Amino acid sequence: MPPLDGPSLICIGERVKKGTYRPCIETVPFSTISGALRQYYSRTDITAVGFFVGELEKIRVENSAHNRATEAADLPLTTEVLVNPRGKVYVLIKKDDFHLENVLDSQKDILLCLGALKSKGFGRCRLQKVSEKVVTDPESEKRVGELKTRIPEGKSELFGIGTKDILKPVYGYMFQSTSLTDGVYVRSLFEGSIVRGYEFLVKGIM
Amino acid sequence: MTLIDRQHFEPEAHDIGKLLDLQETELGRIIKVNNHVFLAPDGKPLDFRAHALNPPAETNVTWLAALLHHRPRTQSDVREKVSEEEEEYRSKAEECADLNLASDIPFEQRSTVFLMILADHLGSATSRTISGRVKRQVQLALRQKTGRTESKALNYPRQLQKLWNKSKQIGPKVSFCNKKELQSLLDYVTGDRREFLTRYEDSLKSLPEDKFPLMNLTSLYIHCELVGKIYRLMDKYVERVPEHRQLGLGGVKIGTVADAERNWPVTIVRCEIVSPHQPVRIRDFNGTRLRNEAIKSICSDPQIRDHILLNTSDTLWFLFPGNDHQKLRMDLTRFLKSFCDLGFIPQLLSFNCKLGEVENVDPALLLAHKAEELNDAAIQWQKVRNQGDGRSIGQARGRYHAISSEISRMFPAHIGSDSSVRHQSEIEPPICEICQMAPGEEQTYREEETQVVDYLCRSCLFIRNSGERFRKLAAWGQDNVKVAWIRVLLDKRQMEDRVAELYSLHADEIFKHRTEMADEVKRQFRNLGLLADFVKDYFDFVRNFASEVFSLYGGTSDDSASHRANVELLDEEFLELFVLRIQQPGVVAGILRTFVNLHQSAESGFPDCVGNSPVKLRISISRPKYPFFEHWNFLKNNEGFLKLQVPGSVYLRLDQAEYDTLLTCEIERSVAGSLLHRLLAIESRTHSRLLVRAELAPQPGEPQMLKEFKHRLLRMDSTSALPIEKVLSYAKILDL
Repeated sequence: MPPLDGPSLICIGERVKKGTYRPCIETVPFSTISGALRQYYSRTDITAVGFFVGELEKIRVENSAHNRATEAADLPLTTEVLVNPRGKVYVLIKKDDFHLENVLDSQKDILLCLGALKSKGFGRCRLQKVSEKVVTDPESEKRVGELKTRIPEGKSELFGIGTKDILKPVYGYMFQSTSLTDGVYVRSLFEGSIVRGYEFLVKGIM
Repeated sequence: MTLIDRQHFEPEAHDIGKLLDLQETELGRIIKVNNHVFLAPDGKPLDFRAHALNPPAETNVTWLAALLHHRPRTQSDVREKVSEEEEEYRSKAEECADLNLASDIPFEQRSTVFLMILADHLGSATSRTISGRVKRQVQLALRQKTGRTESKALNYPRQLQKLWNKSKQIGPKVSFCNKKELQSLLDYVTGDRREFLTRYEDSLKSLPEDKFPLMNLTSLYIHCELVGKIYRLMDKYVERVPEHRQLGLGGVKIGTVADAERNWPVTIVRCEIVSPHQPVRIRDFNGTRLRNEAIKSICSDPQIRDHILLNTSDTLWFLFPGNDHQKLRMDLTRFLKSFCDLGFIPQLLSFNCKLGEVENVDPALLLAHKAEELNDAAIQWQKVRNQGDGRSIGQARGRYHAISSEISRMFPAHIGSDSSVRHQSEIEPPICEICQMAPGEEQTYREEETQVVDYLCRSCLFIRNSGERFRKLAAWGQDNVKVAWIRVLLDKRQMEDRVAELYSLHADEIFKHRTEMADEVKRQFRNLGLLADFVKDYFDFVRNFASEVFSLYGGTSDDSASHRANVELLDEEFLELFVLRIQQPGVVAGILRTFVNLHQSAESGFPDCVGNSPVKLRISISRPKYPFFEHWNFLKNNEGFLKLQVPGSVYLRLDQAEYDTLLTCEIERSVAGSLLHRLLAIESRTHSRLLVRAELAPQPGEPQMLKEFKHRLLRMDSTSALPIEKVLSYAKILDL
C-alpha cells in the first residue's frame, strides 16, 4: 500500500535499455520483497514473495543524473514507475528451521522501500499484516495455474513448488547478492510459468 | 507395392472426383450426383470404357485411392439409413477399410488406401465427425427453412462458405463437366507428374471440402493439403504386417479403420516460438526476420514439413503419430534446433489422444480443462480427508495423481536447454540487456554521438549484426518528417475462440428450433481445417493491406515495395510490420480507413468477425529517431482492434463501432480543435455528459461549419456515449 503521508512511486526490476530507459515489471519478485524485509528487520533469513493486485497505473519519470567524475550531466534516464500500486506479500514464517513468528507478529504498519532509485524518493510503501495462513495439507491445497510472482529456482521449494510441480517453466534471472558489493544472477521461475502451487500464488489458466 | 509406386502415389489427389461438375451436365448424366468416387447413377462403379473414357490402370495407387477411399453406403448400414435409390456398391472399398476381409487387391495397395482413409478422416474439418443422423436433420431443417422441395433442399447451398466472410461468393470454378475434361483428369492421374495442388489450385480453392450444408466451410485445397501431409506421416510411422493382414502403430496392431480410430495414438504439439529478446534498437528486430526464415525453412524441409499441420508467424502445430515420448523429444529437438540456436525459446504444449478423438487441435484448451479437473480433484480429496473415510481418500488421491501426471505429460521437456548457454543456473554480471538470459559482453557504439555502451550476449549480438541496416529510416532522421510504424497482427487465442464461436452461431442458425441437434453438432466441432483456412486468409489480407497502403502512400517505385521511397520494410516477406514516411496530412486517417474497409470487405476481409476480430491494427507515429523499443512496447500489445499512438500526445484505442461513430462526425480539424478541448475540460472536471451537451447548444453568431459540427456531435452523443477524449485524439491524427 502507499504510505499515509503521500503517493508511492515504485520501479522494480529490469535492466536499463540503451543507457537511457528503465522499464518496470508488474510483479513483486522474491528478491525485491525479501531484500526490503531483510533490510527492515536486519535479518538475513526472511523470505517472501508478492504480486500487485488491481489495475496498475504506469507513468514515466525523467531523471538527469550528474556525473561527478566528469563534472558533466549524464544522459537523462527515463524510468517507468507504478503509481500507488497495491499488492499482496506472503512471508514465510515457519517451515523446518524457519521460526519468525516473534519477529513478524506486529500489527503495526511496516514502512518499506521497494525497488530502484530509492535515493530519489522512489519505492516508499506500507505493509500491513492481515492474517496468518497455516498450510496443513500441502498437496490438496495446490492448484495448477500460472505463477503470479518471480522466485529463484532454489527457493521455490520453500513456497511449495518442488521440481515435480514445475510443469512449464518461464525462466529468467534474478540478481542475488553474494556480498555487500557483489552478486550473481540466479535462474528463476518467472510469472507465467505453469506450476502446481498454493492457490494464493497461482492464477487460473486462460 | 514397390518403392517407386509409393513415390508416385499422390494422396492429395484422392478427392479428384470432387472437381467434377455433375449438376445438369454431360458428366451428371453418366455419374451419380453427390458422389466423388466415380459411381454410375445406379450406385455401381462407373464403366469408363462404355463411355469411351480411358481410366488409369488398376495398379495406379492414386487412382485406387480416389475410387476406394469412401466406404459405400448400403441399406444394411443402420447408422446412415440409406434409401434404396441412394444405395451404393463398391465392395473393394469395403475391403480396403477392413483388412480382415478377403480381397484380390495386393496388401500393400490395400494398406495404402487404408491409411488414406484415416488421413482423409483426420484431415477433414467437420464432415467426417458429423453423423448421418445429424445430416438428415440438417436436410430437414433446411427444407423447413427454405420451403423448397426435397431434391432442391438437398442441394442448398453447395458452394464454399467462409464462416468469417459469409457474404463472399466463392466459386465454384469448375471446368470439368464433359467427358473430354474428365479424360484430362484421368490422364493426369495416369501420368507421372505429381503437382495436383499447384495444377488445380484455383479450382481447389473455390470448392468446399464437403458440399453438404454445415460442412462446406473449408476449402478443398486445405483439405487435400492436410490429407497429403497426414498420409505421408502415417505411411512413415505405421508398421505393415502383411502376414497377419494388420497394421501397427505405437505397438497397437489393428485390421479395420474403426479399430485404428479407436486405438491408435497420436500426439499433437503446439509450439510457440517465444522471443526472450526485448528489442532495444531497430536492428534487434532482425530476430523476427530470422525467425520467419527459420519457420519457412522447416516448413519446406521434406523431413519436417509433413509434421506441420499449420503455422502462423510464431506458432507451429505439429502432428506425431504414436506416443513414443523419447522419439518425440528427439524429433522436436532436431526440428527446433534452428530456433534454439538463435536464442528463441520453443514453448511446447502437447497432448495424446486416439486418432478418432482429435476434436480440437488446440492443446491449450485441453490444458485449461485438465487444470480445472485437477482443481476439482484436489477439493474432493480434501473433502474426503476431512470426513476420514480411508477408502475414499485412496480413490480421491489416485484420481488427483492420475490427472496431475496427465498434465505433466502435456509439457515435453524443455527443448534446447541442455546444451545451450542459456538457462545455466548462475550468470556472473553483466547479463545481456536484451534477452537477460545469458552473460553479456560490452559493446560500444562509437558511430553514435552519445557512445552508448550495451552489454549483449553472443546470440543477441548476432541478431543485431545480421542483415542490412535500415538506411532509409536513418536518412529520414535527418529530415523534419514523421514516420508511422504500422503493424497488423493476428491474435491466435482470439482466432481460435472466434472460429469456434462462429461455427456455433452457424449451427444455431441452421438448427433454429432444434437446440439439442445444434449442441450435438457443436460438440463434434473440429477446428483444424478452419484455422488453417483462417491463417491463409489472414496472410492474404496482410498482403492486400500492405500493397494498398504502399500504392496510396508509399511513393514512387520501380519495382518492389522495398524500393518505394516512403516505405522501410524490416523484411521483404514480413509485411505485418513496416515503417511509412508521412509526407502529407491525412495519411494516418487514410491507413485506418484502408484497414477497416479491407477488413469489412466481402472480397478479402473478415466482415463476420466485426466486433470481435482477431485481426488488428497498431500505428505508432513519431520522429524517425524516436526509440524503437517504445514503439515495440506499443505495437506488440494484443488488446484492442485499432490502436494508435503519438507518444506524448495521442493514445487512441477504438473498436469498430467507435470508429464508425467517429466517421459519422465528419470531424474538420480546423473547426473542431478548440471546441473539443473545451468539451474535454468540461467532461474531465464535471464528469457530466449533460454539461457537455449544454456546451454543444448552438450560439448566435457562430460560423455555420461550427454549428453543423456541433449538431453532428450532439447526434453522436445521443446514439453512443463516445468519450470526448477519443474524439479529440481522432481529430489530432487527422493532421498526420
